[in-house]
Amino acid sequence: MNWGPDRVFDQIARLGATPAEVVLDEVEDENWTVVAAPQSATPPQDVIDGDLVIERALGEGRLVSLRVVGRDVGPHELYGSDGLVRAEVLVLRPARAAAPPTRARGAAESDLVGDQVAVAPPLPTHCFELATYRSMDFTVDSARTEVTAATATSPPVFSFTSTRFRTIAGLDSNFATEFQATATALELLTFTRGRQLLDTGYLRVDPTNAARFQVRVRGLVCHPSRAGYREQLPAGTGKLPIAILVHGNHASLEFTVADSGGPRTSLGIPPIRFTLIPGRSTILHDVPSYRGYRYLQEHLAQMGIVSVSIDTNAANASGSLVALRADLVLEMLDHLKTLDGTTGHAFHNRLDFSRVALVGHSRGGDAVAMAADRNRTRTRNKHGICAVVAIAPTDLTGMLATASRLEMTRDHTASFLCVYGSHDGDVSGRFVAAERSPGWGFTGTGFRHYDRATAPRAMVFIHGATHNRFNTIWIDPAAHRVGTGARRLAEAQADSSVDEAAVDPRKPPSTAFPLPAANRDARVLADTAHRTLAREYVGGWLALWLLRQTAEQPRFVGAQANTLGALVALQWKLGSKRRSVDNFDDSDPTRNVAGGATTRPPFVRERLIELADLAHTPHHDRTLEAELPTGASRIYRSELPTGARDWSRFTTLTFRISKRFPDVSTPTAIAAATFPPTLQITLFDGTNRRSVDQSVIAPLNPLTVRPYHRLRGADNLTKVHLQTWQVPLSQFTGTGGVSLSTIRAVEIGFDAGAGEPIHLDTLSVVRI
Amino acid sequence: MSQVNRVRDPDQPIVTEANFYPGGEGRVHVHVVGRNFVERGIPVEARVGAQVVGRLVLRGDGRGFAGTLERGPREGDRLYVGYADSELQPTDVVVRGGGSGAMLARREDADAEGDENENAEDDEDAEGGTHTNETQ
Repeated sequence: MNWGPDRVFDQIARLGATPAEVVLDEVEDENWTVVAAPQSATPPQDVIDGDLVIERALGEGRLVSLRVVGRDVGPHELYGSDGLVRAEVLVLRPARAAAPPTRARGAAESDLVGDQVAVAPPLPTHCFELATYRSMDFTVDSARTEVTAATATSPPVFSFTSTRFRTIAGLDSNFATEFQATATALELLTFTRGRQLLDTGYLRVDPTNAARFQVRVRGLVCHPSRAGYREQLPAGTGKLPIAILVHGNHASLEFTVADSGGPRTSLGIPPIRFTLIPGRSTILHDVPSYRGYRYLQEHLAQMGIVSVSIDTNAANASGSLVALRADLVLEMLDHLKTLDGTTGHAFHNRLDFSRVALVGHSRGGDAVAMAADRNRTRTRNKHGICAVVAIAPTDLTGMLATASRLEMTRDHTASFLCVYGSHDGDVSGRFVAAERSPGWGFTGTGFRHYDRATAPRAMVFIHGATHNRFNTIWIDPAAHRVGTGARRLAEAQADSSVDEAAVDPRKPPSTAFPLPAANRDARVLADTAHRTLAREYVGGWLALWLLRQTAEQPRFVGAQANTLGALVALQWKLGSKRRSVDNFDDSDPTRNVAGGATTRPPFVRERLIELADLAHTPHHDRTLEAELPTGASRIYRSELPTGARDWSRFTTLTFRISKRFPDVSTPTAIAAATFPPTLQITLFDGTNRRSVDQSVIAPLNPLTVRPYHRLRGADNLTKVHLQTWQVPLSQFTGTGGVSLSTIRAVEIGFDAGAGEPIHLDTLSVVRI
Repeated sequence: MSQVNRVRDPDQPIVTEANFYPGGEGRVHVHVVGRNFVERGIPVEARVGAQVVGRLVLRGDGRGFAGTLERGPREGDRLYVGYADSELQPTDVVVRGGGSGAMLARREDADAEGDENENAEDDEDAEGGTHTNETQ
């Protein structure tokens, strides 16, 4: 087989329908990494000496040239007058060879050399607190407003304001003045939240500029250590990957206020006048949420990953939504860069900023996506983000104007993972009636993050998982002050008051429905299970993407259950090669994303999936929708253009699928519905056709699950969602089968029931 | 005088008092006292009349919040509070007074002995829904 540079180009950036059109594929050759794609905005400084430049003569057959950057061509020669990479140019870089597992030396110590990491045994670990002050903006984003109201067929659009300041005067003017009564009548202590943060060390006056402040950047660091020398990294010269963890919004700071001795003023509330006394605050209580992922950090450290869980209580105490948290992520990374460059520091020259993972929980999940977005546009100190992981995230940008939504693309991160629980009582998918759908709610869920992502990705929807139990501090009563609502919730390990009765671990479990008042819901997972699943899924994802331990991939593609046997619903698009056939996201239903024509029977259409069941669909995404088959034409056909027909280097056909459930009011109703969806898939190579039907497809996807019945108070929050199915391409080959080198079309026959349409999305081929 | 009675969602914050103070540049700071304001992933939201309360910061003990209005509220504007994933619920707090000085908004039944529904969170039969009855 000829695998010359023309073939390499065509596998990654294929010719489109016209000679002048170049279509960027998702295929990644296992030997190469795409540095700059045709017509991309890759900065010239990202193209380095030694990179390989393939120039394809568009429309001129197989003419192609190969050049090497630095030897034959300079980076700036690859760009057009529009500042984009020329359409006929593709820049590649040899991928790192996958590191084979090495045998560890000694009982508990491994020598880290280069990129190789010992798979076993676990490394010893050490954790310590790290803190510094950095000059940075303080951003408060709040005051959400509705720009466009939802209709029966279209979602709402929201906006919120962001205010950035860096001066002391800004702190005073941008936070509301608050008051506290004193023992003396008609005297009030006054303060602002900004001043409280300054008084208590979360902020400090900039030593170089008294008009400005600096922000404390603090975190818990955990790292692999050397046996017998716990404060040192393992012996050797190899660089270690980095993970930054970000907690979400939670009870944080309580203050006491006393007379600062400053000048008094007065305020009149007719007929009374108060004396206002400027107050000085001290911390009464501080909930250390950032310490709540130590169990995960130690697991990562045992694998050889340095992690920092950062304190974002300054954001919690100031009502900030996302932006300040994202800034703190980048500031901590920049601080680690400083330590890495500091002679004599334990981290000197030992941190690998080309292998960074960002892991965020709740609003932290939104924050790490925003941090990756801000990192993407940096021209200096740009870090190599290999993974963005969102645990039970909010999605506060999902219903903003399109340009403001956070979308995890390959420009942002090499991979994206979302972990979310069906029994999340905080980011629950609840929505305001006017929003009409959980897929359209301002606060959203992780399903929307996944829908928008185009980087290699997966989503693990854990049946019975909650919101707070991923953080050990959030469910620790001792971490919360006596008498507060937060402490009461921690005692019940509940995300909200409505859920308390159903999840309290002090109650005996029950599987009865309706749930007896004296019992908890037996389906809800214990906090220990949350930590175990976090280690497996989050730890496994970081092992896959930071350490290249490909043995972790099966758990995300439905080939390996978790050790607890907990039910999970999976969505994923992974593999060393990935090519989209269709995502159904554009406005032209007559063509697929591969550039080929599509033919639909009248009962098949492309539209927003949530329109089939606004009340229970957590997605916001266009999919293929097939209703009850009628008429003579029953097949949906998606053709593949020349250049997209060679599937010989792929192993698996994948797609996301779901069906509408007519009744999700009770577990019995859900169990009684027809499930899974039924369809038949046919590949056509121009000569032969080979079909597989439900009898083959269903056993290949044994981890498919029904919707999880979920009531939260009076709200039915049952989510009817997509799951990924896979069909090995080997099912279509063999005697009388198709040739994978010349696939001309994919044909799908749907067997939807009346009122129960089937939804299909993300039709792709991958190599796994 | 109208009185608002409700069967409260156990997650619904309760407001007992709100005060408004000039904040400079035409802004007005609002200071709300109450309870059951829980810090969660889903943010607390509030509005006074039709105006959204911005830069809302909860008290650490869950007993209220402070925020900012971009312009002064109007006489008769009612305070609504809740979480961003639920309908903001009307409170008993209505703006009174005004002019160049501070304004004060109090519960309409501030002179009453107490609202029995204030104890709803202590009742075992608190339901997951919310409805409002107004009586004259």
